[in-house]
Amino acid sequence: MRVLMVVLGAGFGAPLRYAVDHAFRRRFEFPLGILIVNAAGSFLLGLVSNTGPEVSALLGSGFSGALTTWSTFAIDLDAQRHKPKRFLLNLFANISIGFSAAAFGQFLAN
Amino acid sequence: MGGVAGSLCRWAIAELINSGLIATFIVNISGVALAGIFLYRMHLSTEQRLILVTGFCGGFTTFSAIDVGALDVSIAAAGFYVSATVLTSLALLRIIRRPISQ
Repeated sequence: MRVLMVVLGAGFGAPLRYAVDHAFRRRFEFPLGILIVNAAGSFLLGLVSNTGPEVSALLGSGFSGALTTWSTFAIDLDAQRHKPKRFLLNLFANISIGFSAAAFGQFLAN
Repeated sequence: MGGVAGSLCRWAIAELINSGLIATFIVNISGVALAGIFLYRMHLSTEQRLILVTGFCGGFTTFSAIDVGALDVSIAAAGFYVSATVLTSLALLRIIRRPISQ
């Protein structure tokens, strides 16, 4: 049952990540779409971290796990290696906003 | 499709390994290496790239589990964990990117 929940959640999360990333990448050089999905997914995972196994498989491991990404973020950082300001902005924005979003989600859940 | 397959693999690894943060580290590092190989070492079509890199690697790796997992440990441990993930990812990409000497 939990396997199906992960499949269902990821079936929505991964295409949504693609759509958001694609929409922003066409307009901006900075990977703003990845920052948005990572922050939104971290907030959601924080929010559902204390729920039952089915809900956390659907919204946590499935949806928020597939919505957020580390590989694209790391590839973007690697591509920004010669632009130190952009590199640091991307790194610290994702980490600080992601953490704050997760903490806020968890705070609301408790 | 790639995203669902990647997410299922991530979930299976998380089920096998008891510590969430260690499972997340393994998944993220191997996902970055795989994405680097697909992007820098193979000649893929746009569709193949979409399925394998954006779909599979993007769905396999995760950002939210780092943040939520790191909320449960001390600030020092969280800082160490995030730094280790960033540095290992960048080091791997650097190695993968480097042309193979003849």
